Amino acid sequence: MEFKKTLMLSSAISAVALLAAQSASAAEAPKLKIGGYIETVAGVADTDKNSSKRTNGGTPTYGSGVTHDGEATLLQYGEINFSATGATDSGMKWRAYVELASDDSGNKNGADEVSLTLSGSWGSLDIGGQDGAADKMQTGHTSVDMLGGNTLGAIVYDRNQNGNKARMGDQTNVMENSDNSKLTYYTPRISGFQAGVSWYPRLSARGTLGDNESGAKGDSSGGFELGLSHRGSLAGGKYEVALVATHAAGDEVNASASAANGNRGEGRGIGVEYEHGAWMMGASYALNKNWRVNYTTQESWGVGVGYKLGKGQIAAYYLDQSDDRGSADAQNKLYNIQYGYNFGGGLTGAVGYYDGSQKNSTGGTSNNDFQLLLAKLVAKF
Amino acid sequence: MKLFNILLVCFFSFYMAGCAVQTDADQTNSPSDRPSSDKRYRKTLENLNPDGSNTLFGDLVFGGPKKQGEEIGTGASVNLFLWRASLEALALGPLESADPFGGVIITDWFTLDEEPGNQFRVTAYILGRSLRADNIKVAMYVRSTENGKVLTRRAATAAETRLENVILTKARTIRATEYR
Repeated sequence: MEFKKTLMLSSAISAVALLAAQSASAAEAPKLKIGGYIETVAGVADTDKNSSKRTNGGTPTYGSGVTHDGEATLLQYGEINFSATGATDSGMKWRAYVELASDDSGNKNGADEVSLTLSGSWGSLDIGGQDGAADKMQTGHTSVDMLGGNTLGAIVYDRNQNGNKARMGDQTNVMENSDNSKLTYYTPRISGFQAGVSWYPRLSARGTLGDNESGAKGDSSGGFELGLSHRGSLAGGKYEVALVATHAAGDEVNASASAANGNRGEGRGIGVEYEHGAWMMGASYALNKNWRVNYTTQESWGVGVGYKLGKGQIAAYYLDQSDDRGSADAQNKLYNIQYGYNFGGGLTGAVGYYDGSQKNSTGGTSNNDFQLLLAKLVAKF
Repeated sequence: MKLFNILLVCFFSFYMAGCAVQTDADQTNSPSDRPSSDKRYRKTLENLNPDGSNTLFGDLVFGGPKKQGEEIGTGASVNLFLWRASLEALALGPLESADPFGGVIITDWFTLDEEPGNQFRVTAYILGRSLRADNIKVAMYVRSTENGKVLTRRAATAAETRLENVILTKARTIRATEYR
C-alpha cells in the first residue's frame, strides 16, 4: 500500500511538472506605461547660522544652498518615467526604463535613470544607470519616513570648517554610487532569503568609460555592492532584515593623494523593519569609510516607529551620526516627528518637525542647532 | 567590522541552505521594482491607502494585453488571474468543461507520453474574487490498470498542493505583467 501511495504521488507529480512546463507564456506584445510625480515642499527653519557667516543652514534648499534663517522657502521636484515591458517566446520578461527628473533649482534636469531589466524564474538582471543592490535592499528606521527630507536637501547641513564638510542627513545609508551605470543581479527569493550583487566599472564620468588615473574628484572608480535580506513572519507580524556592503576601489595608482582616491571607500550596514497590525518599526546601523577628501569614518544609527490611523500615519525617528575626520570630528543628532496622509486619487501629503544638532570637536561657530518645519504635497500620475 | 563580516557569512550560509527548499510562490517583488532608498518615503505614503487609487488619472498604459478588472464579466465571482492561470496550467489536457461563473474547470482524462500507463484528470475550483492561496483548490485523479483491472485513485495531497502553487505563481506573474 505504501509503495502504491508513493507510485501515485510520483506519477501525479510528473504530471504536475509537465503541466507547469507546457504552460509557459508565449511572447506578449510590449506595452508602454507613463508615470511620474510632482512634489511641492514648503519649509521654514531656525538655525544658529546666518548668511553673514556663509554657512549653509537647514532651510529647505537643494544641494548646498544659502542660509535663509527664519524665512520660508518653496521647492518643487518633478519626475516623469517611461516603462516599456514585454516578454520573449521563452517567457523571459524585459523592461526598459527611462526616468526624467527636474527641480526648480537647476540641480537635476534631464535623464536620472536609464536601465534595462531582464527577469525570470532565475532572478533578475538590471543593466544601466539605477541604484544598486545595497541601496535597493537596505532597510531601517526610514521605513516609517514619509517626508524624505534628505532627498530634497532640506536637512542636509554642510558645516564648513577648514574646508572640510560634514554632511548630515536623515538616513543611515552605506555609501554607494547612486545611479551610475552598473550590472545588478538579484536572486529569486527562496525560503524568505534573497541576495543581490552589483558591479560597476571604472568611469571617468557618469556613464563614460575613461582613464581614472587623473585623480579627478567625483570619478567612479569601480567597485561592487552586496545585499542580503530575509523576510518572514514573527509573533503575528512581518519582518525584513537586511545586510548590505559596498566597496569602491578608488584610484589605487596614487593612493596617498586624497584627490586621487576619487570615490574610494567602503560601507557596511544592517537594518530591520517590523510591521504588526497598525505598528511599524525600523532600526538601522551603517559604518562608512571614505577616502574621498580626507580619510573619514562615519558611523550612524537610527530607530523609528510609526502608527497607522486610517489613511494616515504618525511617525517619529531618531538618528545619531558621528564623523571622525582626524583633524575634526562631528557629532550629529536628529529628532523627527511627522504625520502623513493619503487623500486618495494619487494625492498624498506629510508634515513634520525636525530638531537637529551638530557639534564638532573645535566647537565655537562651527556648532549648529536647528529646528525645521516641513510640509509637502505629492501628486502621482 | 569583524562582527559584521561574521554576520554576512552566517547570512549567506543560511541562504545557501535555503536553496535546497522549494522556491517561494511569490517571486514578483524583486528589488529591481523597489524604489531607491531616497524615494521609499513615497511608497510609505501610498501604502496608507491600499484600497484607493494611487494615481491621478489611473494607469497610462499603451499597447499590450487589454486590461480587465480582476473579475470575469459582470456578476461573476471568480478571480480573473486565477482563472487564466488555471486554464493555462491545465491546457495540456483536453477540457471537458469550464464554467467562469461557478469557477470550475474540469479536464477530460488525458495521458502523458512520459507516463503511458496512467491517465490523469484534474478539476480546478476558483473559490473567490481575490488572488489568494485559499481561493484555488485542485482535485487530481489518476487512473491505472493493474492485473487487468482499471483503478481510479485520488492523487496524493502533495501533488494537488504543488499544482495549486503552480497556478498561484502563474496568476501572480500574469497580474504583475499587466498591472506593473
